[in-house]
Amino acid sequence: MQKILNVPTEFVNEMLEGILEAYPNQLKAVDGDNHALVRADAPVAGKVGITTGGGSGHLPLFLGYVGKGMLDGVAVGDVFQSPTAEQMLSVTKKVDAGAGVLYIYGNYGGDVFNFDFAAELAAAEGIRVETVLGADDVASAPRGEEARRRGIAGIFFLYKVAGAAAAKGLSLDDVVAVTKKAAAQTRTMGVALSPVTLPAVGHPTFEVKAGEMEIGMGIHGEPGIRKSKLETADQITDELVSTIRKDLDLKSGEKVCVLVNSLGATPPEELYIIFRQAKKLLTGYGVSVARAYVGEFATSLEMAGASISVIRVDDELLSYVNTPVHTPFFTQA
Amino acid sequence: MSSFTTSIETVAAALESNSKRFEELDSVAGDGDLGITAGNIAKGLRAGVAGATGDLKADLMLIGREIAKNAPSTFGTLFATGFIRAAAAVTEAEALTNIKLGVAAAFEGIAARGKAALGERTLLDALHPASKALQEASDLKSGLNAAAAAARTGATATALMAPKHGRAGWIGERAQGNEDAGATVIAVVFEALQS
Repeated sequence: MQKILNVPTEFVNEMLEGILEAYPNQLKAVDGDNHALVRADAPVAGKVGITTGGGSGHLPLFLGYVGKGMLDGVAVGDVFQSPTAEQMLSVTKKVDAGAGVLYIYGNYGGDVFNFDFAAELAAAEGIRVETVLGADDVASAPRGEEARRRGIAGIFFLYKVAGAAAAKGLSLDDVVAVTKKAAAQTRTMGVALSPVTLPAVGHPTFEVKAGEMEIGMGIHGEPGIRKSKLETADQITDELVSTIRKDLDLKSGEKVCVLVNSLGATPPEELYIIFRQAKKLLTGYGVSVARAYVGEFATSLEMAGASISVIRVDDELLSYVNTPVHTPFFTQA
Repeated sequence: MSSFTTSIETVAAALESNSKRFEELDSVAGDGDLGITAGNIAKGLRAGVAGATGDLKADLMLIGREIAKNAPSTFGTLFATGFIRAAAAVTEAEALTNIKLGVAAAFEGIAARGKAALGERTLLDALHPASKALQEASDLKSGLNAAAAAARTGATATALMAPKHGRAGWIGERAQGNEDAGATVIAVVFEALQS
């Protein structure tokens, strides 16, 4: 894979400089550290601060959703690396308006380790912090072991719900409750068609053979559940949607929102071919699609592949999903 | 300087003078950056001493915060966690009681944060015997001496253990035969504390 780079080790720093230059009215760095970013108008008076973080290489995750109606701050790590607890703490202090802070991030060891420590440091400074983990990847652990699941694109729905609830003025406890409810109703499953090259490494760090695919591969190349010859869009979609339906125990008459996500290299055209089949299948189950998102939401550098996320919604969750937002990488009227 | 801040300075100096050894041990099984981390922890310890007020609780908390700032790696964070948990545990009691409480709380906190158990070739395999030796002591001097010996024995024993955590966990048996670098750091700390 050819890349447009200067110094590979400066990949993240130069990206962050560019993003801050592109969105000067929406984002600002905390204490001059570009790895600690908050909304330009942070802290928002009286509002629960929603904070996230994680490694780089997944844009629009994580920093792209910092803005009105979604997140207040983000700690940005190196490629596929957790940010530090210090960066998380400085973001936490900057977004806290006295109403407390909610951490929402993907369930990965390094991130949990550092965010838990940041929460402990914040508590020592008198800031109340609660945590809801994104653990939506059904392929990463079986039913009954949901706590071991990794967080992938479905975290978008958690951001959406938590951000809308916080913007509405709900208390920290109430924002936590509705975000946990959203997390319990969200599932994702993906397929990878190619490996990725970390800029500082220069060659792929795992393998997906030409002509093959890996169902359930993680966004850092974690092993999936099945490798095979590349199948058709409809065959792939059937497997992803039916697995999600079973895991979520979706029933006729229920309502969902669907997110079809590119892992980086797969173009929007192919995503719509996937969505077409997903909609057909869900309709066949008697499940109605209340809202659809199709595009790049959580990528893995230039990985080819896609994921499907489904959140079962009631009127409360749907109203939060439908709330308008305005962030550097995502706007919903 | 109080005996507390003098002890912390002594530990910082010991970490710095052993950094090459930590680096070599860590290179066998890990990233090889534990020498740098130990140096950064020493910086954090010194920064904490510089801001110490004589209030043990506040001073331990400050040291933990400074280590977190100066050594943001996994090992540094675990080390910082130990001080922060110790800060919460100490009381108005005399030194021996406080070091018993502090080290026991540090062990519990690090085990919880690192999600590791004994026998998995981590720093816990040196810290646990050190804490146990302290709990059985009736005076500070003999307690610290026994803790240093126990930490050393514990660190040496990790050479026969299979790793489960970090990069050492992926390469399995290659790590065996050498003692765990993190456990060695703990042994060096307690050896610096003995008189």
